[in-house]
Amino acid sequence: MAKILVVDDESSIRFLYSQELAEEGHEVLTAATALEASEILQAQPVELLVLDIKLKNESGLDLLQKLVKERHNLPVILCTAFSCYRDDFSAWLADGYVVKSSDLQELKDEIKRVLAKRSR
Amino acid sequence: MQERYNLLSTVVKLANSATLSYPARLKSLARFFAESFQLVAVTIYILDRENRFLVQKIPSAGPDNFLDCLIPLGDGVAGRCAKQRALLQAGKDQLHDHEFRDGRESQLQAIPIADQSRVCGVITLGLMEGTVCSAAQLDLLQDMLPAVAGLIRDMEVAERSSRRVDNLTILSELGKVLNKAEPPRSHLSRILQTCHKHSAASCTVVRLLPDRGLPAGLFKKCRTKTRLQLSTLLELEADASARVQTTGISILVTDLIADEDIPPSYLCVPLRFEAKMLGSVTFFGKLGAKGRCQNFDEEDRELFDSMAMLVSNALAGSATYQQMVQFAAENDKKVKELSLLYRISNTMLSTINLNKLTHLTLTALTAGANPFFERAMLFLINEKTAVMQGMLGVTRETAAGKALLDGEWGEISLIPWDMSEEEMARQRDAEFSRMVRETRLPLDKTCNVSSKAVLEKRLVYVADVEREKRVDREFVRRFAVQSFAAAPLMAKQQVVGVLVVDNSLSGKAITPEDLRFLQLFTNQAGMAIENSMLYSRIEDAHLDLREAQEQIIQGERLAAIGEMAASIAHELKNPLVSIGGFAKRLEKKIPADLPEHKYAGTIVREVTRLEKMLSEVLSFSKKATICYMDCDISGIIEDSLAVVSSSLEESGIRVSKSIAPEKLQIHGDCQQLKQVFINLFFNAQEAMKSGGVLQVTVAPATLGQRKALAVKVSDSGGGIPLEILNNIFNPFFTTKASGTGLGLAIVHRIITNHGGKIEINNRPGIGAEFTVTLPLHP
Repeated sequence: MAKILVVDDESSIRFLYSQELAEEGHEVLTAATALEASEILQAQPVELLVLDIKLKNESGLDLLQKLVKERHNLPVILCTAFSCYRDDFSAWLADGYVVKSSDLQELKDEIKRVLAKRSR
Repeated sequence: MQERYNLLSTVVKLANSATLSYPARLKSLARFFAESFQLVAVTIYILDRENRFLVQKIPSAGPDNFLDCLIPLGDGVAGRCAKQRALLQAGKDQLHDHEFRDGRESQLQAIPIADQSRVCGVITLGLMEGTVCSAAQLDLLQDMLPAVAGLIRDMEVAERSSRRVDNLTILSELGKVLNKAEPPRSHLSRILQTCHKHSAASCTVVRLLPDRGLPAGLFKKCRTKTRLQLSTLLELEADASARVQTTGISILVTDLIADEDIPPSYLCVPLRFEAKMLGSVTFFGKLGAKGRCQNFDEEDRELFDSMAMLVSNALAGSATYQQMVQFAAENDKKVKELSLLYRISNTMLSTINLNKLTHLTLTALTAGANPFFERAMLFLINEKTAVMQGMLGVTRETAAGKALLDGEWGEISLIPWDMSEEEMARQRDAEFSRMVRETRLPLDKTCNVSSKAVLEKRLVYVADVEREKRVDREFVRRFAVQSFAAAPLMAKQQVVGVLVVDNSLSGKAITPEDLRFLQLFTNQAGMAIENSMLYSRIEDAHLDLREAQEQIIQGERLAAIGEMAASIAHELKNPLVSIGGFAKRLEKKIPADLPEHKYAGTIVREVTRLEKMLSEVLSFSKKATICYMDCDISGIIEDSLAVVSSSLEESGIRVSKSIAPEKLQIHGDCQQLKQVFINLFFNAQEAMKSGGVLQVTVAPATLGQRKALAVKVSDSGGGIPLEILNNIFNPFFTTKASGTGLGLAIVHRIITNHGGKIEINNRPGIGAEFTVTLPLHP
């Protein structure tokens, strides 16, 4: 199991994801902003990032680019309400892409896939 | 001596008698000589001015007037005497037929009558058998003869002056005739008559040359006797006239001898005005006393030259006058045409209604006191069915009261020419118009010549329908057409209709001027019709635009609603995810037998339903991000190089380009393709930190079966280490500590999306060469 950082500006989403992913056996950290996320990443090693594209005042894609630059080994799964970001090529830097849904099964499967690829 | 003096003084008295006429004086002198010298008969002969004949005689016994005779010089007694200019004595048997015979004389003594310069006559003395004239007598007689010569001379002078007066009278007569303003033809016949009468010619021929503004041809007047020889005379005339026309000098021919009995003399004078030769007048055979022809003389020539001058001036004047009249008429017509066209064009250009336009067009052609045509018909073309369909017909009657040019010019140019609906209805409902509407003519040149106007786009004139085979017989019969013209109505280079006009009511000929006007007029009408058509097209376009505008407004409203829906949907999505997520958790946690499990299940289902709806809304509202268009590959390469040029310069990298000369176009997303090359160039720059050569080549290529282009980007950066070569297109892979990190993964993805491929030719120690192959049409 892995240490996962969930970045989303909606607290209820953070709460839901941490509950669900913890139940899967992951250690879940959450951040509401890019800054918070950066601080956490500096403070401790994280194995996977679940990133919302539309953060309150910033774009998850910008954070993604920054993270890739600084820590290019960190796998990222984009998780967004919009399916259209699939066509945005800055989103292609992410390792996975999931459209937000109340059914978290897709997200869970994607996490499994990305982690499996990493460990190979 | 006294006796001699008495005789001489009597002779002088007689010769100068103021109360006696010249013949009477000569007669008295002859008688005085006969009595004084006891002679049987004394005859005085007078020689003509040309010294050729003795032409008059006056015997001592006889009436107080001259007797005509024609005794050639050298003939008879008197003739011989005149010729020899000397005294002559001869027997009576030597007398010429025309010489006087008393009957009692046996011998004749002839003495020439002469003054200082010439012989002007002969006097003959009749001597009875056995008598002679003594030398003294002859001497005395000869002394008296100068008085006779003086008398003859006086007579000649008087004659000449009276002839001069006559000539002046003739010229003044002619002047009077010429001054009458008359049409050239009747003028000419009067001139001919006057010349003929006063010239005393037996035949007068006036020849007028063509193209002098005069009625050209031959005009002749002959006395009955000469008519038989007319053809010979005309031959002579043609010859003389030709000569006169070349020289400009009159010809006088005398003593003509021919087999036929033609007049012995003719005179041909030129008719000319300034330097222009108008023709000639030839006079044949001067009629003398007792109907005998005699020669014309120089005096006649002078007279005829003067007459010709007068006639020439008059004819030239008449021609000029005629020209003026013609010009004035033409001018009038032109002014009328222009006024008409002016008003029509004003009217037509301000008339937008096509129907009214056609009425005005046909009415303009047929209206007025002196219309251009008596009937006008309009046929419109139906190309699909290949027929000319009758639309409207207007005649003088139905056009009546709509004259375009009644009243003063200044006035009518200001008043608009218009037609009311009632007037149009009246024209439309008239019998003729109805007949036209029922007419359909085939659009075929072989059986309907008017369709030539349509097919060849030109005016067609048929002078006589009987002679034209390709006329629709039914059309001719129905409208009783004799001759007609058909003019195409052109709008936008296309024939929309045909105007057919004729004068069948009166049969008046259609003149070239009428046709010219028709042409001008139909051009004008065509323009107006074109205007009208354009106007209605503008109206249609205006309507279309308004509809489109409304659709856009509608679309914008919808789009605004869509945007709002999208933003609402997005706002709803996150809460829904939480609600649904937690409901799912509840459903999982609550034992299935409890009713709360079912409640949670219901929430989950409903949220799923809502989420489905939202995702539909969201996917609908967002546009696609890839935008395909035709891109010029060399432009893309240049743009990409421009982006990286400063970085390349900084690193000391030289760029070497080789781009195929042909314009290579590819269907794709220009921005994405630009991104591909920017990335490749940055990649190369990254590999050549300490300088090198960036080589870019573009060339046509194939990809499978498809046309494609290949762009090679190579660097001299030593190549890619083998351990990372397999990973370079992996989106999660980068060797760089800095940079965008988008790198080759994105390059790969974009190229794949465009249906192309990317290959690496890695040359360790030298450099890497990327080959991008893109199909021209993905």
